[in-house]
Amino acid sequence: MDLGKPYYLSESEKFPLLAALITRAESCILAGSLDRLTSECRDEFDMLLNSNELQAIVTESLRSVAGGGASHPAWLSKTAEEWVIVDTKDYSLRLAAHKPRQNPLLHSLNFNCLVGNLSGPVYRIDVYKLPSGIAVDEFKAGIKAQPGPGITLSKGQFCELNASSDIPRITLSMPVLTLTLYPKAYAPIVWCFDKDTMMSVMATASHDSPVRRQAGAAMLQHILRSEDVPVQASLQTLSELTRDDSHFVRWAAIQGLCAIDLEFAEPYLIHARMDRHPAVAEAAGRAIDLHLKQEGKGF
Amino acid sequence: MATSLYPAVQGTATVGELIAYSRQHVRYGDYDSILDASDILSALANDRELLVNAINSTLAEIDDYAGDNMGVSSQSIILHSDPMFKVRANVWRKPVARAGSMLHDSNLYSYHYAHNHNFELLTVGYLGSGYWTEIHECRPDKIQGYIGEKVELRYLEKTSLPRGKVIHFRACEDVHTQLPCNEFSISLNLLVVPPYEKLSDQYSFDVAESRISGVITSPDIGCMSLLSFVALLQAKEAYDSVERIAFSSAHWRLRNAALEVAGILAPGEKGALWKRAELDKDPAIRRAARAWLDSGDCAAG
Repeated sequence: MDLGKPYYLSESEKFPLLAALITRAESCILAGSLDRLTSECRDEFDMLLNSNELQAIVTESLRSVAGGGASHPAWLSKTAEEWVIVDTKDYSLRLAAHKPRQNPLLHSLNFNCLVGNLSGPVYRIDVYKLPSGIAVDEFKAGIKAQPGPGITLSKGQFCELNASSDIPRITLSMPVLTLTLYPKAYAPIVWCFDKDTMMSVMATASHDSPVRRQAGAAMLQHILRSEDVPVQASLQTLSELTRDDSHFVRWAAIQGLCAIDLEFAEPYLIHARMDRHPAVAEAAGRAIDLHLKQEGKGF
Repeated sequence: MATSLYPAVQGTATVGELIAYSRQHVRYGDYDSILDASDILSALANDRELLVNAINSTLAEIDDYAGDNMGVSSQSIILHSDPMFKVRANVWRKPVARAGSMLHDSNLYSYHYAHNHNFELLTVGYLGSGYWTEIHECRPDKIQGYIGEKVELRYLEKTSLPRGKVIHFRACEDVHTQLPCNEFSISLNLLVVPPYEKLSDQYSFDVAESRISGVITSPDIGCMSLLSFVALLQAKEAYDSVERIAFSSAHWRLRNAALEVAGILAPGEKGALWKRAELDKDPAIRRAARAWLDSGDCAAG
């Protein structure tokens, strides 16, 4: 058995329920229904969760390791007790060992997901909700999460969680194996709540990609302010980033443009005053007041 | 000890030239060969358009799925990655309070977090006055690697990484505690990584208590995961494999986990397993066995 690759993905006859879930997920993506992946894959997810297929793969893999095979199959995480069963650019299916631990913050979700209890014992998820009417991408501190339904998951049971509304409080008394399926359609941001007061206290990015673009924009800003190097290509890059999906990347790009060449940045800054995200629009308004109006430009 | 240098290099080098040089001359664990790479790493840092060009050519395409992020912070730009050598640029910022705490930013930049690396790290300050770091050294050959283990840590120095300075952090031996920079800074890193099967554990340390406080990464984590999975699944059909690992020549931590899992899968065998382990040639296994045999678990089991 080649443990360098997920061998089980090419053995659909041996693992038909896993293959069925993958087929369903792929067809969902081909149909352009990434946002419906969790709802459309429920039946296949349920059947896999209640089958013996994943346990068979784990047991086979351990047998291979005990027999002197590769000690670290590539599909196992190198940083956590997690098996990345399937991972494509569009979706991911993972099995992870979760242990009881104290975290002072609760988080909204990075993505919609199906979460299933593969191993038992039973555990409870209290699903708090973002208040209705709240724009998910516009973080505000001091917003109180609303109590929602309590879900009890026994072995073989699963639930669907929604990134636009759900804040799960998971109560574990024992370690448990959870199976998770999620589309890589990320929430704009992740809201963090104080566990005791359930008030929102901060927000984080929902994935690394925009954070890297933000860091890149900051690098350009700081390097080009201190170095005598051509700026044209960087102005082009930052101009493109002013149209990024993530508001914090757009603002980092505006800051970069302003720091490098205020005259070039002027139309972008003015446009940002009308940005769809109020934080960017407000910041742009303040920057215009500070830098452009003082120069006597009429706005 | 960790070595600091100020190479007086005038010219520039490319990432390709650094990698070609490293493949020919640099070897994991050979400190002289790594220090000799300081000049070409400095030459790379002399290219003041290096990161600008790299960012402009890739920024719009950076993708979590396609990128080999090596588990590094989102504040890093990967310039090269192959199994043995990696080159990356790291951003360092002053932490700011979020939700009334500096914890989030401190975690992001690993500030105030004493740890060693299980790879050789040659780093050069590229921009700004750089981060501060307190460096201790330990003796990896004297470490068993369990949490709470008393470790002799010898203080070496507190230093910073301003533009142009090169520091070599030795794999496993140097324990460093990053402290916040005073201004936005960037460092360039050359990582020299051993083959995966030869990778050592990476630890965090409680410097004040001179103890290991955590195992950050371990080459055994994959197998440890499989053991956790079979234990939680109560996969009794895996018992033979688990027992085989328990009495193999694998790392004591893995064998210890296998002993515990074997006891979960076959509670009736628990006493016999630990009695056999008491005679093991590995002192860490003998210590774990004695701990179990002396405990109430033994009497109950």
